[in-house]
Amino acid sequence: MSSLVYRRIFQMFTFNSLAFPFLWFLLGTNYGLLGGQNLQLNLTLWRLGTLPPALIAFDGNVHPIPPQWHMLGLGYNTKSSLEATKQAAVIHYNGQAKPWLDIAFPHLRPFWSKYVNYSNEFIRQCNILDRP
Amino acid sequence: MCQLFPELEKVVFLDDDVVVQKDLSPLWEMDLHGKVNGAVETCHGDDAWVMSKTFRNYFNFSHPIVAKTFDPDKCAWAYGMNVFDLRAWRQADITRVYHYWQKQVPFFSV
Repeated sequence: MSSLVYRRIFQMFTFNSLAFPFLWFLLGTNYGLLGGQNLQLNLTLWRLGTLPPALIAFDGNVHPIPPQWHMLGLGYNTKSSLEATKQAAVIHYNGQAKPWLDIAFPHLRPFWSKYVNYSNEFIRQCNILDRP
Repeated sequence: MCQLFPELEKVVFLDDDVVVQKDLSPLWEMDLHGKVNGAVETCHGDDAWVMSKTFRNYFNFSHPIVAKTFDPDKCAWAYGMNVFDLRAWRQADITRVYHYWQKQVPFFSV
């Protein structure tokens, strides 16, 4: 091999060993190469999920509606009042304890399970809890 | 949403983990006062855990852009049952605002 090839290989190594650590250093600083203060590591704008960007996008464009239209929290271990759950127009099992899972709250499951046809072929294939 | 349903003027949006127990047609008549999204607020109510959500719970207020732009005590609202006025949506160009803020998230952030 010609000395030119050796030289080229040497240049590649020096680039890898010097340039990349420097780039990583710049990215790690608060006011780095690309976007200034937007690029701070471990400093995200919002928590995971689809709600936070929607909270921003609809900011100033939300009209509050009465809470009895939409009752939240049936998937959290809350003291969800059974009376309020009966009265609400829409009940929402947000949280982990979905009514079709083992971890569902037994007193809240019937509001969902009474509408499920467990003899339906597709429902049976879903492997959901067969216990009203 | 307004691109998915270009012919529609209003949409009632429901999550897949809800049970509808009553007739929802009055929602259709509800006056949203020109706003885009009719939603239940989650900052006041009987339940201390589910109903105590403000912007502080969802955003990182030590981030300078967030701290500069938003009020931490602003009331949050819930997805799951929403009325969307798609005419107002198009007028306020919600889709563009949403995409703008999505791009503010650094691609390597966790």
